[in-house]
Amino acid sequence: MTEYILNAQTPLNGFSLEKDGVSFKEVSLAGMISIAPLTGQEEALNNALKDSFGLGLPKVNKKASSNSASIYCVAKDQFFLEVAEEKTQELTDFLKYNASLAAMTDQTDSWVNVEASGPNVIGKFERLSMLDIHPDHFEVGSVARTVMEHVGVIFSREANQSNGDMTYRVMAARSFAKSLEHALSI
Amino acid sequence: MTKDFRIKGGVVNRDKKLNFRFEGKAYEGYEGDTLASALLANGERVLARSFKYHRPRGVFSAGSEEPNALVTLREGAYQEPNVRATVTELYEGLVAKGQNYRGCLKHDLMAINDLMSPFLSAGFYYKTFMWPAVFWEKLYEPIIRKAAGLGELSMLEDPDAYDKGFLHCDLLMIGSGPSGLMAALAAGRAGLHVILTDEDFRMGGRLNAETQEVDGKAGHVWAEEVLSELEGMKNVRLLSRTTVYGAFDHGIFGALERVSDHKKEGSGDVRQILWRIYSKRSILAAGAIERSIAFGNNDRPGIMMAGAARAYANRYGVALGQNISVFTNNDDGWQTTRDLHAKGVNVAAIIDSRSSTSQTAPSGVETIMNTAVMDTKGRHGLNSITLTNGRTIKTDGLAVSGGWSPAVHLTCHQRGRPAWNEDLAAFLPGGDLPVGMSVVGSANGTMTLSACLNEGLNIANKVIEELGAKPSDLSVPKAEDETFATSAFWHVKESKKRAWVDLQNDVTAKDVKLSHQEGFRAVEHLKRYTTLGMATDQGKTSNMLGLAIMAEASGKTIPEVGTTMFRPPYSPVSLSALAGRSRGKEFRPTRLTPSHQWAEEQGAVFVEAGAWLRAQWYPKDGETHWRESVNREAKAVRESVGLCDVSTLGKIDVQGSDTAEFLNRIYANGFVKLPVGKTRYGIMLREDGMVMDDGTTARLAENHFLMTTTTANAVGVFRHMEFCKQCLWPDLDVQLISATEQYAQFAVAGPNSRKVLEKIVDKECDISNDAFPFMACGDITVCGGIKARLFRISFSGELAYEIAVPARYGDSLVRVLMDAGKEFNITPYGTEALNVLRIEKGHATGNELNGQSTALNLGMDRMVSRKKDFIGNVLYQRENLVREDALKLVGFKSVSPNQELLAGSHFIGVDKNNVQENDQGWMTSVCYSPNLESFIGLGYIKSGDSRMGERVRAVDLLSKTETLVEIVSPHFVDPEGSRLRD
Repeated sequence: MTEYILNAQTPLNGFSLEKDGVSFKEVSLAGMISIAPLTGQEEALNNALKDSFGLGLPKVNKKASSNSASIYCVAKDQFFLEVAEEKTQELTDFLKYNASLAAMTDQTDSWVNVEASGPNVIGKFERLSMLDIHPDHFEVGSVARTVMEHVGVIFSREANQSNGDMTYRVMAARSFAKSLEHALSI
Repeated sequence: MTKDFRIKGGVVNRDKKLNFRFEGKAYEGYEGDTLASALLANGERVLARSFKYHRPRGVFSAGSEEPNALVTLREGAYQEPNVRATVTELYEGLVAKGQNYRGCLKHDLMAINDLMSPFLSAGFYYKTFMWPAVFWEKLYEPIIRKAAGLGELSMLEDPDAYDKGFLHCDLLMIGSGPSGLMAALAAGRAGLHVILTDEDFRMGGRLNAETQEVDGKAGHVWAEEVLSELEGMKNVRLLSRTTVYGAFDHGIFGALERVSDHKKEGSGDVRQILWRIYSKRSILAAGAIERSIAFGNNDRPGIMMAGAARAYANRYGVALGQNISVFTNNDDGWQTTRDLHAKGVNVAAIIDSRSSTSQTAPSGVETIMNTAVMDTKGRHGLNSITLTNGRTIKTDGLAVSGGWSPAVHLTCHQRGRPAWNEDLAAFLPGGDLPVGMSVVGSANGTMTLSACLNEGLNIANKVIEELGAKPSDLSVPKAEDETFATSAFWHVKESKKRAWVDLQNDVTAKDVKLSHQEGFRAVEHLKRYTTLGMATDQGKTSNMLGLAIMAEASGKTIPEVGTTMFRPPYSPVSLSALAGRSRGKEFRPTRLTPSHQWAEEQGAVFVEAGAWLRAQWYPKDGETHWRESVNREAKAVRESVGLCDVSTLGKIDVQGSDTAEFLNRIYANGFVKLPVGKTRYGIMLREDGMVMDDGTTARLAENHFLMTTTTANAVGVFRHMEFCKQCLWPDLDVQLISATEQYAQFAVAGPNSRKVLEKIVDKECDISNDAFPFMACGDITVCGGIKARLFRISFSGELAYEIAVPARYGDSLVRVLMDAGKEFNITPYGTEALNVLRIEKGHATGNELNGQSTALNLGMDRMVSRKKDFIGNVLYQRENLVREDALKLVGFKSVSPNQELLAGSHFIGVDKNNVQENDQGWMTSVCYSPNLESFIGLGYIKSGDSRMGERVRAVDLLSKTETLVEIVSPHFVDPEGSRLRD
């Protein structure tokens, strides 16, 4: 009979920072998987996703979101699905019953996620990546892979804050968490 | 007593006094001054010593083209050499000193070089310092090194922070003079995203230095109004103090913004930002640079460019002298005469090399046509000039106007060449501009004010339409076109004394002629033989003169001689700015394992494995040498149980109905028949038959495999597999993704490893030897339902497992395992002990898989399938790779157990000479084995597997050591493998 308990930790232990007109905070995901359609299964996969999460496969560099889930496409055949707490059981079931439609892996622990918003958020990211994130060119629901201070990231524009501030999310591989925190903080 | 050369006017702020120091002396200037203008105002003429001859030099220009006034700015670790005083914005507390002197600036001991000038002409070092050869290293080189260069580095680390950034725009405007401002205004009003840059701290270009009116007001006032409107536009971004230093492909430019160079050091701001600017279109409005005329002793302090003299008078309120003269070959010199005269400066004479002109001089100023200046006097400051007609004129300042050269540099950064224009006696932008670039204003050969304004507007409107927007109703403001006539007069042939061409590198007209005489006539040879144009100013004021003199000497036209190649950067960019944040610890990002924090708490010593930090060993109190810790760790694993973080090893998740076939083509051994729930060791070959990587692959389900790779090759193998999937076999139904980050994975190894795991694995999961034999794998749960994966694989050769949990539990799991293992004295072990254990067991790693070895060399020939097609199978069978005496991986034991072995040493027969023909192989890995109490190693040796017991010498000719070793089995410990299957 094991008496041990394992405690979970987020990659940055709840990092948050307000500096130079930008607010950063670590975001942790309830559930996330990678999805790569298997040969000839795109339509079936699309329907299955719509059934379970109300969202279909978006085009590349786009993110489709609902209140409890989002799907985004970062490359040909490469999608990520994120769910909120209330949909984690659906996610587990989806993995179990749709293995023939797509190659799927659990990615929940693989990434560090930081959200950034504030009046100077564009000025901040101008110094970090070559993406053109002018609001006219990088609208809500845009996603791109890029590099920030030599760390590969997935960068997306989320819905504006209630006060209208633009909001972005930076994702990097979990092991780079400290380096990403440093890159964003200085 | 310092004389005061301030005159009325200028746009400096006389209400804001600034204190600064030069060469230890205190001075005052105003906000808006440069260091050069403030020193000139205080009557300081000698600012520097020239490179070769150590002649006193003063301010020559008013811009970034300055060849003379190079000073060292700031002190201590902030010290920066070779800073041009003409572009250094004055600030409170600025400290500067002169350079390139021994003794003091005013009386430089090295000035003796000036007397040696006949021996120091161009190319002298090709003919001297040859003999005797032994003197070179000990005597000549140190002397030359000490004498060379101008300023000195502090040799301390740069304490400032620098950054990089990326900007996007529809239109990049380079230069904010009249044509640039018109274009920016037009584009801004039309709604384009515009970035307007200027290297100056005050935008407006020549409008700040001239007296012509625009729209009925002073030029600089009109500029201020336009800038104010631009500042208010959301779609326009102004970057002053920003040099666009390079035009790169696809409309991408490099720009250096000097964010806080004009503030006292240590202000906390980032110092400079290196911007990469992505533009759809660009307009170069960089203006033109004035050039000099070569005549005898034309380098004295007090001799400067005529346009600069105007800039100092009109913008800074500083006079070049109290009794000045002007020497010109074109109409522009006359404007200087008029402007300075209007400010109350006495102008002794204007000397024009042309026979006539429509220009007129103000009353009281003598005009001397068809004459030239051929000599000057006044070593520490001009006091007279001598003309070609024999006359000497007393004067303390000479403004020289040799004409204007359009600043075409950025148009030629992609190997373009400029085109010669006879009327302007200048090179203009050539036909091959960088994509998307237009040129306006003086940079385009449009030399007069109204024409510049017009051109700026017209080109901007063209660009606006090209980009699909609508031009606004902006019209050209009222302005005049000054008269413009120039002549191709480059040097005064009557000069008997040295006539300088390149001031910074001390290149004279004689040097150019010498270059021609010696046969270095092509313009690129001229440059390198004389070093003309090779200094930090890149010949901005001197290249034209040099190639004109060469043209004359060779009887060619100027366009026939041509220009040298233009390359970025336009003006110097410091290495700190190029590095940005990538310095020291931040040079590369680091990857940390899930147990990193815990390992830090244990005092682990870390090693860099690519971007990862891995624990190398965990020293305990009392241990004084790393080998003590490593020995203890390695023994603990074999005697009881050890724990090692192996999260860094690559994990590649492979799924799809063709996965098994896919892996079968990649691996040399078979994978199609691997049962679900089993793991298999695999080797993959390169196309040429060499081993690329090894690892274990687990079959988690019929169409689901999880491959592991070495840490070092994780990315390389993944890339290789993606290439195979996308390019070689795109019809296979298979998908890949890295799973390295998802799991925290620990090796639990040793005779007690199962007992430890049983304490945390939930009871429902049976991990007994029967249920979970050697090479098994599967999903389990631990600690009350947490999903985990267990692999029974062993790198150490002991009974061992690798347990993987989602990374969020990694830190917690290592602590739990340490607690659960306490009763068995569980020992954390690092990469060093890991290495000892695997060498003892005979497992190959990167040292053995060095890209030159085959499966046969590794003793794994039987693993290589003869029944299927896979990458590498054909070239694997090349004759030389399968020969009788091929290298084989075997073990080596030091015959005297305490004699250290050296990896990389080569094996030579006991009684053979140490020459290449006798080389039988080499040692790949070595360690001290605490379990065998001897130094041991692995290595490749010819026919090794049939030479057990034989002795050879392991020889290293670099360290001049050799050791007698015995060839043994590479499996030093448990060769039968019974512990693995326990």
